[in-house]
Amino acid sequence: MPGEARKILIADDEPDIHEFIHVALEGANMTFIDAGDGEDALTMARAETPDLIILDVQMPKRDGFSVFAELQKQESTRDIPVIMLTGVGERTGFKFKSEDMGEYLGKEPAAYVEKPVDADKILKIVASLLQA
Amino acid sequence: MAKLTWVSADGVQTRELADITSIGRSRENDLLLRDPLVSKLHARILRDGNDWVLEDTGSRNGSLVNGVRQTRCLLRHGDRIQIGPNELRFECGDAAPFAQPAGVDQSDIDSFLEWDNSTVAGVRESDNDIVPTHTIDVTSVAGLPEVTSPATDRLTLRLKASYAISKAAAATLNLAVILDRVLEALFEIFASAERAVVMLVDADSGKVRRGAVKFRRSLDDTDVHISRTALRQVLSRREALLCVDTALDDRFAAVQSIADYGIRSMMIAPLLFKGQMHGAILIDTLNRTAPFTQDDLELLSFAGTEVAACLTNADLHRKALAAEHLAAVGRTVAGLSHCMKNILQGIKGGAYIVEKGLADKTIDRIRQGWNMVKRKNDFMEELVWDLLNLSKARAPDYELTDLNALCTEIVEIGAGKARNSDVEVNFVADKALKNICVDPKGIRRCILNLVTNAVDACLEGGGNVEVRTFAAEADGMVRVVVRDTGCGMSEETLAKLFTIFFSTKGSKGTGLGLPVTKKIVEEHGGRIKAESRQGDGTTFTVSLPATRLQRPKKGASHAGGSQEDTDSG
Repeated sequence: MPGEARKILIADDEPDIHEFIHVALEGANMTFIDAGDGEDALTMARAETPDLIILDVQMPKRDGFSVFAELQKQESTRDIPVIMLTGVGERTGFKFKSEDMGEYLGKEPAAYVEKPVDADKILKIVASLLQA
Repeated sequence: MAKLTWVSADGVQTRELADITSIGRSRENDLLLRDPLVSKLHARILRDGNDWVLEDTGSRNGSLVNGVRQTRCLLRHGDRIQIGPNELRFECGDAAPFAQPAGVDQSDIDSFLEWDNSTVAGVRESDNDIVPTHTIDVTSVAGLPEVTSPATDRLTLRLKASYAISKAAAATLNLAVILDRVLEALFEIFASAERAVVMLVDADSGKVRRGAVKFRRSLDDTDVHISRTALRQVLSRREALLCVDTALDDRFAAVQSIADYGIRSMMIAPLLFKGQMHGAILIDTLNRTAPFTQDDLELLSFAGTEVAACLTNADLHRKALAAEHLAAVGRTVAGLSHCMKNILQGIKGGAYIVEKGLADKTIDRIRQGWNMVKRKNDFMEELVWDLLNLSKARAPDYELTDLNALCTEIVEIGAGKARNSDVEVNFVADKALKNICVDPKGIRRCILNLVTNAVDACLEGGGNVEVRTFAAEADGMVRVVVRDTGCGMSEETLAKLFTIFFSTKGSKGTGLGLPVTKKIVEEHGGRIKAESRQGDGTTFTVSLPATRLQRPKKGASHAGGSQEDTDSG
């Protein structure tokens, strides 16, 4: 792939997810920044302005939805495409009430990927979002 | 001379009136009526020459004279004064006592003692904030003085029925037991009753089923046949039904079942409370000399309302339990699914990496993927162990154990976990600690959980973990304290600490570690205490009984198999 390597921020408290995504996306001319919790994710997103963010919903310190909402508040991070990794029923209001979701529902993440994440699927989504 | 007469739980009461007689709930009153529906200073009766005047002194529920609310009113002989649930009869002059009143006809007395359902229910419903208390003692009800008036008898019977039902309902939530006791009480009240049946309507299907049956004597034919016609009529019209003599009653001329069983007299009352129909209560007799009367029917209706109220309560309780159960299942399933997804993710991811390594023929990659799969396997094992442990009560498998040695081993594991970090793990053993009887596997699990948590709390900012043992203190408890100088917990987290599937570690924890730890410690008869401040570290204290009656091992004889285990180690 020609051009500069694209920067991907991966925020998940599970190290295995980082390892897995690194391998799944390797060879696609990307560099990775890893965050282990929601606060770290926000700090790194602001400091590094990555080309794409992969956000887990259930993280210590700050959940993925809240990180997404914060990203929308700043000009520099507002337009970064976000892939949300969701667990069980997190989108269907089982864990998060719909009124909690109101703040970010103004703008939805670019894509939702349900765990367990499929390597080919995440590669395809990442590629299409980076092209857009 | 004037007096008031009324019926209380202690029997029929009379009180001569002074020039001023105050009535109310508080002690300073001349006439004390202990009931939540009576105001502290409710009313007073004043003498005005030859007249007597009732004045309401600003009571909450009002004072009624002959059913009409009054603030000030001249009293006449025979007037009925209602104060809360009490009806007081005013008598003056030389008039005869109320058992044989002169100049007052029988129906008037009947209405005086008419404590009808609607009045009682009305009072209760309009005062939702006041719960009527049932403090009647059965002995005092049974010990009511003999009175000749049939009306007073009926009032006494109502008290008796009401008391019996309340008592049955308060004692248990078991519907069968409540109904059985109610029927027993009704047999006592209706001397001629030979059979009593409660039929219940299923709220969902509308089907009618038998709730309880009672016979006074054991009959040859104990099959229960009751008239569907009569029952249907009560359920649909929501009215009580009395049949003084079935042979003479046109309504049941065509009903074979009644004639077949020789039923002479019967009554059925609906079990109706706040518009909810629960079924009906039926009482019948073969006795032709003592048929039921209208009074009996009223009493049965009254009992029916009381029973229906119990059934409504039981329903509410059952629904609340079912909802709570469903919520608990939901929480467990959500927590479990999260753990499972995490495991699946690791296995799927690991397998993907292994496959990629196989394709590229890179042994490092294969190893990387394989390790990921193995980690998830370990996590799964831990999850299953914790779940099984939590799912049932189990007696610890006691063995005489050296807690210091156990802690030394655990601290080594903790130190290994903290090797490449700024975390130090230390152990301070109390040399005076004697061996104690614990389940070594379970307690190892508990302390390892606490040490692992402590190391995790320090990993980010560095810190110290200290494990300390303390020999038995005056309370007979041995202590293991795990203290860390890590990140600490908020009050909110502290409150949820032992809730299953609550974890602050995200994917790293199952959220079962501390609930399991608590359960094991408590199964040992011990206690666990957590103290923490945000940013200020955490201290867990596990207390375990130093002595214990050792359970006999399998195969040991029962006699002499148990012994106090104290200093034998």
